[in-house]
Amino acid sequence: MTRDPLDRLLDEWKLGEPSPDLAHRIVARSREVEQLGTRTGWRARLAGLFGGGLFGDGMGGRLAPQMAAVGLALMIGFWYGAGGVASSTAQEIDASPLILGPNYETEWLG
Amino acid sequence: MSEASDEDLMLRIAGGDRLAFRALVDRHLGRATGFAWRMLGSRAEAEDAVQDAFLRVWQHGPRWRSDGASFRTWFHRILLNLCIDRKRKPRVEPLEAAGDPVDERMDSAAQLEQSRTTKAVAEAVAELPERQRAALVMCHYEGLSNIEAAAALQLSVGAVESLLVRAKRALRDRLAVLKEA
Repeated sequence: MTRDPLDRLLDEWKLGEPSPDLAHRIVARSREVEQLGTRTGWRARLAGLFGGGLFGDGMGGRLAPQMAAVGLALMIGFWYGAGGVASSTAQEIDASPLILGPNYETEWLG
Repeated sequence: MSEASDEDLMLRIAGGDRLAFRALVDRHLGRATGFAWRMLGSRAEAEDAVQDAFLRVWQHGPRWRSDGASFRTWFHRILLNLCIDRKRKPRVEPLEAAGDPVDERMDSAAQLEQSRTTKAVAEAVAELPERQRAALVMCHYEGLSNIEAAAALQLSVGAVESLLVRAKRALRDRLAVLKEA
């Protein structure tokens, strides 16, 4: 099949290769981006908060989300364990007015 | 890793897999740079745009959903937008039209002729309106189908075909002298 002369002419425009270190530069920049915590998505955000700075280049991306989850679980556990939420809830209940329905005496009896 | 599809790699990138990211970069770097180079007319500008585009991939990887669209199409759209942004900024750099490698097997007269042709083609393509240039570079140089180019340009296939026809008509006029030579 004969190729269009214009297409042949366009084919003449050849380019060189990209810089040899370009791929390396891109990956290096992606590390910087991760350390800044600007990746989107909850796992990456948590990684940026808890684990991003704790691990090296190769491990950070894989372990940081798990570390983040552990860190978050510990925080939640500490919060509940220390009674912070429990006590504040109890105080709120104490302070709130008691509202009873018309059958309040029997509604628990089934 | 090399046999994994782009979409598989993207799923791994979403989980922070840097090896998958590196594999994706290696797979698309050459063509992406070629696309940006032809859009911007400068290797340095093109490499900056490509770097930004891959960083977008890394940053937004966790949100990426295939939904039937290919990675290649999505990536071309990102890269095209970055090229357009750069193109619209004022530049002081001259057009690096003759960025082609010199074939050492050719004699100097042939090299000169090829260089002249390359420069003329590069300048003629650079003078095309943005969308015509993007459609031409995607379909002629990058090997995208009209359907893929339409998805990347967010146009109908008919509109892309029309852009290509108009681009080639303009190029025929501008390069007529070269064809006759």
